[in-house]
Amino acid sequence: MSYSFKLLPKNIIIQISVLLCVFLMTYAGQKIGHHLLEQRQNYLHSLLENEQNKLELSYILQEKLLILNVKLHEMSNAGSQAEINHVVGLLQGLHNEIFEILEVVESGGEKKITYSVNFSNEVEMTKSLSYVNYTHQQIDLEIIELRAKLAELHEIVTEFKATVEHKIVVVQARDPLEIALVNRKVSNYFKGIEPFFSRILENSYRLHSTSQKETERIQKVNDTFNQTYVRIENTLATCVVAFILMLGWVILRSSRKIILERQNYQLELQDSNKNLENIVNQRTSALKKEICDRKDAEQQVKKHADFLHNIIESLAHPFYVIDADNYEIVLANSAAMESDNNGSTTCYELTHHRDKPCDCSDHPCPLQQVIETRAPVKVEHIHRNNKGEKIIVEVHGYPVFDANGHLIQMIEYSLDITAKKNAESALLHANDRLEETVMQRTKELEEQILQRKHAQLKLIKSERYYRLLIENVSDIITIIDGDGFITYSSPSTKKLLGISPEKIIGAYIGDLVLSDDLRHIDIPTLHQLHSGTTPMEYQIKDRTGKVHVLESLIQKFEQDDGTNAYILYSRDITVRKHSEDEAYKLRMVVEQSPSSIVITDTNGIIEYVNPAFEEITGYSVAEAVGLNPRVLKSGQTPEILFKQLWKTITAGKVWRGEFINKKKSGELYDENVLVIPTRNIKGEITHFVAVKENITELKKARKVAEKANQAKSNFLSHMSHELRTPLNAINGFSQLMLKSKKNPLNEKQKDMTGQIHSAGQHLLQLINEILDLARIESGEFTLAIEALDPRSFLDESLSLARSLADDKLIEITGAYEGKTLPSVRADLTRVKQVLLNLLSNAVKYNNPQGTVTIDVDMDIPGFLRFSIIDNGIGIPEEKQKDLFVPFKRALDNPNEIEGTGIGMTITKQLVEKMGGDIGFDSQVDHGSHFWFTLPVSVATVSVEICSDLSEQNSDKMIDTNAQEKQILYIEDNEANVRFMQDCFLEQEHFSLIHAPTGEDGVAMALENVPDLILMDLSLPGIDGFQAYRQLKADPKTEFVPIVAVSADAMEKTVKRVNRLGFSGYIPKPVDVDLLLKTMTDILET
Amino acid sequence: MMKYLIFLVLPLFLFSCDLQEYPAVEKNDRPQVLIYSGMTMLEPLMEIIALVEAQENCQVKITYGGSGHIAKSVEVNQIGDIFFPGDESYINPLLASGVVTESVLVGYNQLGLFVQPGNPKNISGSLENLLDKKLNIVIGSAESGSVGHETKRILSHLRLYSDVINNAIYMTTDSKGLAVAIKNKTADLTPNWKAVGALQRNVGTMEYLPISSVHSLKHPLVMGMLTYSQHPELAKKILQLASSKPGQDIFRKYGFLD
Repeated sequence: MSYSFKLLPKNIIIQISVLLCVFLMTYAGQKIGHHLLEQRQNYLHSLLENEQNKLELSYILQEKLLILNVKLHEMSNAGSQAEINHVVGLLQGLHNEIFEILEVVESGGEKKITYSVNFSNEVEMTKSLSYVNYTHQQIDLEIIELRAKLAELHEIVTEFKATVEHKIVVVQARDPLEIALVNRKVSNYFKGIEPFFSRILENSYRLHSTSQKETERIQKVNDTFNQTYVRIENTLATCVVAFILMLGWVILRSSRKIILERQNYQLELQDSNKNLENIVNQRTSALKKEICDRKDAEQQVKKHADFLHNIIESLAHPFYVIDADNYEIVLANSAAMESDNNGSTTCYELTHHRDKPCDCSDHPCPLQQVIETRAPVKVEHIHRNNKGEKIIVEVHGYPVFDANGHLIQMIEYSLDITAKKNAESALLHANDRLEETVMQRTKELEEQILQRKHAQLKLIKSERYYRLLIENVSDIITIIDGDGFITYSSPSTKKLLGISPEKIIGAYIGDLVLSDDLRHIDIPTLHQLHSGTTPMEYQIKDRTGKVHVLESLIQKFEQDDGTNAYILYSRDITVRKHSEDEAYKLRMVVEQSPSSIVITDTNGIIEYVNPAFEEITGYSVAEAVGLNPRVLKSGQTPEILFKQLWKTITAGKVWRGEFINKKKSGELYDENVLVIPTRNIKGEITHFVAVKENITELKKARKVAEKANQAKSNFLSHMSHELRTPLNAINGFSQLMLKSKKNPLNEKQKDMTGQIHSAGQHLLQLINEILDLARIESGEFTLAIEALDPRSFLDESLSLARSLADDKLIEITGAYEGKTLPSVRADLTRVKQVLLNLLSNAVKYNNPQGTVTIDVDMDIPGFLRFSIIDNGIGIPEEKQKDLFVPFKRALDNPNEIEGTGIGMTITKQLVEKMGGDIGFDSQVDHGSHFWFTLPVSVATVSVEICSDLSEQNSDKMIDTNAQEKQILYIEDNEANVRFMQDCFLEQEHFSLIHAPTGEDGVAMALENVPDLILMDLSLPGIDGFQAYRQLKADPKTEFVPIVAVSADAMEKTVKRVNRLGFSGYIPKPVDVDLLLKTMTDILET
Repeated sequence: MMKYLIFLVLPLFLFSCDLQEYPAVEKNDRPQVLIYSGMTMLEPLMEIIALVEAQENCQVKITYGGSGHIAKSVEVNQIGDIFFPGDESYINPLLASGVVTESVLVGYNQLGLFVQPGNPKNISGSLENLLDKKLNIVIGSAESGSVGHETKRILSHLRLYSDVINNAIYMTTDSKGLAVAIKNKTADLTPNWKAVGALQRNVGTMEYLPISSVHSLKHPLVMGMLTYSQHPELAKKILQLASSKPGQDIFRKYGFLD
């Protein structure tokens, strides 16, 4: 109490002091916080204003873009150059303004915006919008895209201006056709600009939308901050008031508490004094009464103790009371003390004269047992009586517990049972001896029975073992007497020969053997010859008549009656004999093989070589065995090949390859080698067998053939070029002379020139076909096999053939119309060549007003058969066999009908190369039926285009009103240039310019873009292909059509031209009509 | 007592804050990589970028559109890290001028025709169908995108271009616009990059008709690093990933390597 009184005033002062400090600090904090929050609020306000400025800028940007679009429309409708210039000026101004706005939005800055405040734009107001980009380090995709698109727009406007200017000129010329054309061009231009503008506007909308979202976000941040600001201010004020109230309440509460506590302490002290006096009086009277009661109880106890002592003393047997903790005898009667106690105080000293308690094994301590069991116990002890004799006593122990149930003492008394015990012991001893005698006798009898049983089992097992041995042995065991008669045969006779052993018992052994020489030899002699390690071999027939080869040994033994008998051990070696024969045959094959054969173990050590190996390498068998095949290594075979070989065969696979090896003499030779790993029954590789063939001569022959083939290929290439170049001049100039309007030929000259031209064309066709044939035969010829819709080439071929047929009034019909045709696998160009050849033959060898029919059927499974049937002059039977032979023509007078005599040979080869077949039936004066087949394709046909495009375009003609087209001819050959110049002199709508090299041609085209380029492919410096790439890579000439003009008619060149995207290919010698048609078609579109 | 502490700590907290800190949506100090991409390759590029962003602590932004447009954007803006047009003809001049410093081949683009699913008007693969007055034709603008550029090249070669423009109902700036025209059923037939049909968003909404390979060539898709790159290591990693096996698998999935 005194402690509380001392601390109480001190605590109050501390609490009041702390509260005052906190109050002062809170007030100061509130003032500082208010100042800082105000600063943040001002900053957020400025951000909001900044974003609103950006929003306004993006809105103005949108507005400007829309105006830009409107102005572009206005430009398209401009009627004069002045209007265009005006619009262009406005557009430029808008463009600049938009860029300025973008700059401000991206990098920050200030933009002055002028607004009209009345409709007539007379009064304007200027406003300055400043913007700071706080996130300028972030990439703004919208601004990047807008800037790019505006730059593109600038270029478009420039191009569009030129288009509109052209429109104004055309409109002024008042040519309705041109006006329509130019209007269409302007309209088309707008089609391209519109989506572009949409994208620009999308960008500006996105920019605006982003600004709007950012403004809204800043506004939201600002609002949230303002709300938080007000909440903090209110809370702070509330807290200050609360602190003052709390301070007053704390002082008041503490003072009141002190007064009340003092009053309470005084009252409690008075009550305490009164209570203490009452307690002392009560305690004194209680103690007096307790002393009287205890005295009465002591007297009662003394009486009771005397009574018990007398009873115990009257007992004749020893009686003790023993302390359970220390074996001390607490109480004992006189009988117990009769023995020589010798001053003993413990039970073990008194009864056993020992210095420690009894052990529990053979002389258990009753006290220990009572302690363990907490129950009365009975044990037998040997004690000594007062005469010093040993007596057997029965000791009884009873536990004594205290009031808490703890065992504190044991009551013990002993009874003498010595006489009773001696009688029992004598009886037990006699009984034990009797039992021992009985047991010994029983054991002897059991051992005798067990020995007899073991002997019987051994006998049965042995008998069964020998019986099974004889029955299951695969060899035949036969016992014969001295005269050769069988007295026993093992059951295997039935298994091997199908003859029951009982049936041959008593038979003469010689009757069963097929060999005459053995049949007549007596048994003792046979025994002398074959009783050792040399078996006799002989043949014997089984029950079905099949001959078996047996191998036998014969042994003599003496029978019980003293006579000799013989045991014949026979083994069936039929299979072994057969295998030996087979092995002999195989050995002969290996020995006599022309290929060298080497067998090695798994380490590569040679175990066997055949004579061919000796012959090829020069190593004998004795030399080779034990060596490694690497002895043949020449060092010219790559090491990697040996590693591959070893890796393959050790993996259990077959390896095939070629080596350059070295003979013993040092001579090199080529070998084709096949190495096979061989395995045993377990599947383990045991050996490697190499079969090697000397291919030195074969390789030499192959090299010679390849060289020859290359030479042939080079020859074909040169032939193609060299023959075509002079023909270009012959055919070209003769064609020009025939077509010339400025210098027309007279009839005779026309006739002669016509002959030259016709002969030239014939020669050209002949060269083409000979080259084709040569290419096919040399194997250089390749086909682009693909799945084709038959109609695509049938229709085109039919259309081309009709132009030939019209001259002879021959009707060509397609009977395949309406049929469903599957795709075929063929080369499009070549199948058309085949069809055209057959169709042109059907027309050429037909009568005027005859008919030609194309039909297709599917009579042969997996193939489509194309038939060309005519009712022409037919082929005589004797000529039919030569139809596919080169230069053999079916006509008696070949000059009657134009032809080279190679067409059918090429046709046949082409069809066969495409996997088909060709044939015909013909009858003189009735006509011919030619057919060929092509394999059906399962692949989906990709629809090709342009099949009838050329046909459609062929009808188009150059517009006579069109402007003159400029053609650039890039060619190094002067003759060709002169020919082309002459050719163009006749043409009013074309002008020709010429470049002698690829480099010059490219430079000229870039300087003055032509309408079309004719490109020779073989040029000095960069070739035609390189020049083509350069021209196509430059935007100026990217879309200028380029036509290849070349004497190189090799298939791969033509394919390359098509693949690169040339607009056309004109082969040399140039066909003027083809050239003009090609150019007209290209330029027309 | 907690209240006392709050009022004591508040001024200290306010003092420690930057009162002029911009209230950004999220804290972003990762390096930013800018890629200029053609429209057609956007989806595979997004997958590659997802891999890069997962591997590197960076943010990749893409500006996309027609290849002509993005080429112009590179020229005008002169910033950014990677240029990825739909046709190599756009990247070759930049390689020659040194604006693109290194490049990798990542796939091919090839032009085809697209019609409504199931080809209800039974339109064949012939380019002449683009002249059919009964069909609604939409084509790409040659000035804006690679698809329009390629369309113009092929049709000019076949001498059909000006007639096809006359027959077109409108022109789009890029391949996406062409795909949208088919999806919205505004167009019956459009020439577009083959890979557009393989994009996830377009599968089942259009049918592809091949154009003969004689006319429609495979155009290499080349990705190049710009000389303006602020993060050349990251740009190189993107190039390496695009040309690596995982990158190539992505481009194959979208039909750029068939």
